[in-house]
Amino acid sequence: MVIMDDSIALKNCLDGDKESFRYLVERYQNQAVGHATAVLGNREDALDAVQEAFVDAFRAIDKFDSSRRFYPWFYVLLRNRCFKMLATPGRQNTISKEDSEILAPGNESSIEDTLALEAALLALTPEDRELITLKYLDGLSYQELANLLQIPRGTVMSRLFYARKQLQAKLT
Amino acid sequence: MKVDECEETLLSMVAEMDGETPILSPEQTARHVTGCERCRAEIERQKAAVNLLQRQKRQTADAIDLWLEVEKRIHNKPVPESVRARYYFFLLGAILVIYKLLEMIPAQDWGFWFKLAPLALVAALFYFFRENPFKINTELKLEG
Repeated sequence: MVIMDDSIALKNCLDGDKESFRYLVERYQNQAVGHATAVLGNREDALDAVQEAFVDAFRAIDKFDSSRRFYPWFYVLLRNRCFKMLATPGRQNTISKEDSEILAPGNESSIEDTLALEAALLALTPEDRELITLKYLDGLSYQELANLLQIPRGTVMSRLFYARKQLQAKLT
Repeated sequence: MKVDECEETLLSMVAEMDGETPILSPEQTARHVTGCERCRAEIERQKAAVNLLQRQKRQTADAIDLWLEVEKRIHNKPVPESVRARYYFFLLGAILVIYKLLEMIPAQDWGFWFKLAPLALVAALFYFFRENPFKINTELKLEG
């Protein structure tokens, strides 16, 4: 049995091994769909964006710096795909309002609270929604957010502050 | 109260809530907040939002398998437009270099039509791209 990890998979991908790329898709698909759903506001578009981003990753794998981790690099591609999708002329913003697609119901807060928070999140801009969900649902630090979004730490701090302010306004 | 001072204090207190290093010392923020009702109210609102957010978890996608679709798209997707355009411009460059080299051969008369070749090439490019291929795009935007 071959034990696979990201570095082995990436090395094999560079040699043209598609099965290794499959390993990366299967390993990160759930995480990626969660992130894309937060930006796009619905799961159907998110699935499409994730698939396209994996295709982009496959095509650009030779540009990947093997000293870095795969997912942050992939996230940049995914993000580009999501924002490109949002900017498509004539695109209808189909934001799901019936079910909770970003937040998991039945946590420490009531279903009503979760649904209200989800609605408030969906009323934010995609950028603010992305920042808030990465911070509070994934628990990233300011520095990690700065690295992932390629913006200064101070910008993360102030954008997060104003995003939360917006969120609070939508909740009340 | 100065607006800058309010903003620094609020950012500092929120950073502390998030478990990050604040910009100001606890004494500085305490001193400001004691005298600023607006900041006190804003901090309470931010705290409420943070409390609610910290109790949430991300929805997990149930049993998805994207590989088959990704594999299909890898096979079906045509070469990106930008790569194709780059290829045509390399080709154009190569043709023009060859043309120049031929033109430099002394005592060789290639005739009237040969002189028209670059013009014909450019006209063909105009026709192929259905627009001026030498146009400078002034509306380039950064992705994301």
